[in-house]
Amino acid sequence: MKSIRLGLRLLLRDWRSGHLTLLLIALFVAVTTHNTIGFHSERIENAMQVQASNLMGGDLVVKSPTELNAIPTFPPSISSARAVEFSSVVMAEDAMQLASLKAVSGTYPLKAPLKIADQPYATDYATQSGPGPGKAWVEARLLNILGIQIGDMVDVGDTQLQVEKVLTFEPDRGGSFYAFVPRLMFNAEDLAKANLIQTGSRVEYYYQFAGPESAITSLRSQLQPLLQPGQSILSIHSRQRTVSAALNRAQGYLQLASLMAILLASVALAMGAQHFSETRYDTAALLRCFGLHSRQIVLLFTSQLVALALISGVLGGTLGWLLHFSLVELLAELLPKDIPLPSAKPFLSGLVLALLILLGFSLPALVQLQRTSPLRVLRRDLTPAPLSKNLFYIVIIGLIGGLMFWYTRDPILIGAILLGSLIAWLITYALTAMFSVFIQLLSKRSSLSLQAGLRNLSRRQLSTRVQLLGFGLTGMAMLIILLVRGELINTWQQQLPEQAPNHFVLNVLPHDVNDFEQALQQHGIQAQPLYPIVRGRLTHINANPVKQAVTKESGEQEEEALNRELNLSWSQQLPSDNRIIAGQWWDALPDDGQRQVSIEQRLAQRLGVTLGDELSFFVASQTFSARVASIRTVKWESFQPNFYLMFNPGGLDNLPTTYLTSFHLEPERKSLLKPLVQQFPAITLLEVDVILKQVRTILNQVSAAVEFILLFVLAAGLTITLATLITTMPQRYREGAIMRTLGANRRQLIIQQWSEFFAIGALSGLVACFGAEMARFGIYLKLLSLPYTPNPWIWIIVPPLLGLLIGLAGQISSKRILKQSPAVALRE
Amino acid sequence: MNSMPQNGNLVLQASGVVKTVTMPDQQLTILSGIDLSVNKAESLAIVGESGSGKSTLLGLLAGLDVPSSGSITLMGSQMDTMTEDQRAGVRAAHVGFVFQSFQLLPNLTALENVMLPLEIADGENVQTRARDMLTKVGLGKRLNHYPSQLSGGEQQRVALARAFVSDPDILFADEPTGNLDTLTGEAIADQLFELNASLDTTLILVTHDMHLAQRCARTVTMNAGQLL
Repeated sequence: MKSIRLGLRLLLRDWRSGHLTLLLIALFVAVTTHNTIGFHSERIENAMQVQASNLMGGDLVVKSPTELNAIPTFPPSISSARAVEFSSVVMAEDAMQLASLKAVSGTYPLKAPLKIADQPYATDYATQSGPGPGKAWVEARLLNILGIQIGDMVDVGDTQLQVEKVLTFEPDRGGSFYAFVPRLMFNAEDLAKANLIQTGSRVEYYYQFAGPESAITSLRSQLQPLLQPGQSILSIHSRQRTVSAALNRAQGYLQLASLMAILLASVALAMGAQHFSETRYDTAALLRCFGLHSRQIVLLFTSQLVALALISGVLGGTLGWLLHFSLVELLAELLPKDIPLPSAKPFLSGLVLALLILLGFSLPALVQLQRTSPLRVLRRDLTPAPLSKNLFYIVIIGLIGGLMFWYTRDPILIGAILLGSLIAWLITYALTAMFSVFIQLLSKRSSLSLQAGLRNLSRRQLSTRVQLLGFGLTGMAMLIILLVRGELINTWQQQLPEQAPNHFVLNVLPHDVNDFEQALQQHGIQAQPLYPIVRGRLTHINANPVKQAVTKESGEQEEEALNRELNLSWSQQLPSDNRIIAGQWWDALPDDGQRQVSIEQRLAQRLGVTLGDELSFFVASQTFSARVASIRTVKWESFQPNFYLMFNPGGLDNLPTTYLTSFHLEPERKSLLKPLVQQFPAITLLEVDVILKQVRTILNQVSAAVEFILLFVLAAGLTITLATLITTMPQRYREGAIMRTLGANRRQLIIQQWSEFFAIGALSGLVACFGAEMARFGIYLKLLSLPYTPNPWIWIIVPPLLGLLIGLAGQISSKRILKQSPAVALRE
Repeated sequence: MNSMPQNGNLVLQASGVVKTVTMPDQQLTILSGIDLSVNKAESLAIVGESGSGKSTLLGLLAGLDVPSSGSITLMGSQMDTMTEDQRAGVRAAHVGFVFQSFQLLPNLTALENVMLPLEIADGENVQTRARDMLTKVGLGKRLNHYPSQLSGGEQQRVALARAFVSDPDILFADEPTGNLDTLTGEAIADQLFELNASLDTTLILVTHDMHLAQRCARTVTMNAGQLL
């Protein structure tokens, strides 16, 4: 206790003298970065949760083909709703249409609101309740098909319902884009009167529950054992592929940037810790001389470090909390409103991070302080023996590796960054060796001041290497961030050109195909090819029931593709943005008259399907099989029509088929849509220009968020600059004083400092270029799945630029050397 | 000059003390066969040329280092058989130091430097005692100055205050005036001996300044690692 008390007292006194600034700033930067990203990640997770709940219609949803026999009693904090979905024919006078019916209880919807309009194509608005008894809400196209208007009556089974509103948005409707039959929603009280559900009817019951997490968890565990075959609890699974892909990529990118910032801050911290211990050898020796034990010395300095870590942990945590709001604001368009606030977890892990990196990087220094001999008070040359070099490197590399794993959990990414850093370190060796030779050549034909500055570098090789590594890593991080950011945004923009399709047309009937194509041509609309669509379920993989084959592999994470009907298509041509990664497309295969199928890569991976496997399908009471001939990658975010499963020509013959296409239409030509819909009342027209606009906003926001994180990397880089200047300043100060004592004038000292700092900067620039190119190579291939191309410009621009910047920073920080009288400097 | 004490009541006894250091190609003997005893309240000067081994001897006598052979007993504790931490315990209880290079901690004020040994010993009225002692050495108005803001003489007076504030049984001083000009050195020496006398402390002083040595009750001379 005595040592801790004494340690804290000394810390307070050190604090006043400003000797702890470096450690504190480095820690503060690391913890603030950690917490900003930590809080932000939690908010994103919460947002995903909210979005998923909205998509499911509840926090917990049970799906069943029959009514549940018993529902466990649940607390009043949980609210519940019920929806029953089935298909049936709806009639109005002479017209009739197959519709997807949904009967909802009075409490529906539990989560996100429905959107309705008073008239077809009128402005819609949100509502938190469903249709009342005797009323029906329908999609606009049902009105078109049946030739009726708002207020008219429709026959639904044995009952009549009045069409009250146009249903424009239903958050929990599965299948979204590809819903084939139009929706009619009505009140569950009318379900019995309609008398449509008979034994054997194909019905889906959804029991939705919403409430506090703990109550939902308890209800889930009560429900689980009651489930019969065919009944399931829906898992949270975001279906908004485009947005979540952008969000995931942004998140991965932000984490990479924050990892860089934390690593850079750690380098500064390691330098600061070494400086901390070097400036405390005398204190340690004196304290030992006054009677402190070695254990007490360790305890004393450890308590100081722990206090520092806690202070910066709390300060950094608080700032991180505040800054994460800015980041959430920057990404507002991607995220739902009112996301629950994050927990205190990042704050606590920030404290752990501060303790871990400070104590970890200070361990070698602490060992040295413990070994300080009290005899140093008489003989200052007695520097304590350092930790064995191997042990030192093991500790440092272990810590950095551990930190990276904590943040990325991605061994390949860690490997890429470590390899880049290792190569950068080796390059510093080569550069300092080459530099010594260069100096010898230079010494014959340059001024003495210039030589003095450059000789300093070659004389203090270890210190020079550390500085090269420090500045080099800063430059490397900045380069990675800048280059990757610019190229990333470009790639995204290329994926979404101005002419990206913004309208989708579904349900074009086979006998309408020719007329429809002609109509498009007449209106001057350039559309994608019409893709045939057959709705079907994947039932077997190599004769094994697909559920059995898959759930074994993927545990509880049930594959979404198995739970709903898939859109099967066929095409002669490989869609332009698809790429074959295994097997071959039809044109390169002999036509043996067999059914063949090409499967999307991620689905193949999740289902464990490989080339040559036999997949069986169930379509409109028929079953058939096809062999996997190729595996494709698909750019889902491209807004082109894309399919998980594509067959060879003839592969889907004689099956109920409709057609799908997409096209780009400028806002001022939107009036063309009305005659098109009137001419082809069965089609479903989806206007995705709003979504496209949202995606563009997302891109801009992601880039803004990335720039925000860039500031952390910059701050961390500056701590390294600060660390280098602070730790080498006493020596420079003393040398400057000796030079002045010996008669060097101001100009000579300035040239000496400039040449030294400029050379460090320029050489660091080379280190940065090497490291950045290596790390980029790894990051591009693994993390971002983008092709890598080297960038020759950085080699020309970065070294001189960094030379100038570091030269300037060094010059500014060394002003004191020029101002202070040599007598005072030498006395210090 | 005599290496043996005049009377009993021993506080320090060194017998047959040898110190050797191993160099890459040879073994260097710094001290050979030192015998020395010091009584309570005695003042002893160890004089000799630079490199004669006097500072090494001081380090051994104060328990900052251990001899290669021979024994040293300080305040009844046999230092040569103790671990460094055990010796630290003896130093904490009985010993004070004054150094040629002052050894003040640059981040602490004069007052805080003087408080330090009291804080280590968990003493009471730490601040008051430190302030009183600084006032005694004439620095009552410089309490909150950092070492870099004090002259060499003032720094050494802070070091004196720090050495005497914990009321040590025995004070080791290594060239206490070595870094000071003659006049300042005189003043510091005056204070050192005054404090020594008033607090009844045993003083062991290493110096090459014969004038300072003569102010001690007894002087021993070292040459090439041996007491003459």
